[in-house]
Amino acid sequence: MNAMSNPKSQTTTSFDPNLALNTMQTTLDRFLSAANVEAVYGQPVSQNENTVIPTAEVLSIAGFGLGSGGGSQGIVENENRGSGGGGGGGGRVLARPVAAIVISSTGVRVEPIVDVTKIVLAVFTTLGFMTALLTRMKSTKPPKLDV
Amino acid sequence: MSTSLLRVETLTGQSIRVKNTEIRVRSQVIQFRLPVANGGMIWNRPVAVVVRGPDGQEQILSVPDLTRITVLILAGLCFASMFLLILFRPKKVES
Repeated sequence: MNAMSNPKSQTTTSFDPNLALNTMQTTLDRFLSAANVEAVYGQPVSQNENTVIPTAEVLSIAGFGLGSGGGSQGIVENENRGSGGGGGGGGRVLARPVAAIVISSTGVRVEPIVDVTKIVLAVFTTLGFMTALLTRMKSTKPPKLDV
Repeated sequence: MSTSLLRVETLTGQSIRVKNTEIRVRSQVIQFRLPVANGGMIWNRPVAVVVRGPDGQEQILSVPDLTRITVLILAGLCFASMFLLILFRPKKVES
């Protein structure tokens, strides 16, 4: 904060911790908005006699940090004094459709949405894993005898 | 924001009225907050739908996640086969 009041340091880019904190707070608020029912259930869509409410699974991951520091090296006070700070963060939001709630004249039903690509990839991974295990089991050689 | 490290909560949304049917949606939130740094993880998933018909009768319809169930079954097969290999692998011949 002393560096900001110093006229010498006003010409350089100064680090504003309040701005960084506000940005972080906004990001955190957006991140926390994922913990809401509205994040999972979409708006009802009506078509003819039917109304559909889409549902999805939402996974939000976020992390950020902030740091600042300063120091003086000069013999005279307020000379060659430096300060700095910085912050950083990152996050990701993953959403995947789970089911659709269908409201029709016959009643309400839940229609699951199956991610075929994910299942096929999982099947291939499982098959590869099991094949590797079986191959390893069959190719097990007896140990060498010590002479 | 809650200060607890892990929070598991079931949330109920506002009721939606479609024709004579009233629907209330439920979701489960698993919130994990990093103890040291700022940040964490929020996992929000649909759990069930509470349907109230014109006659006032309530019905709870669960929302199944077939993709997750299938992937978990396949992962279980992987682990089961790994344990079978450990249990029934060929024994070494003692000299």
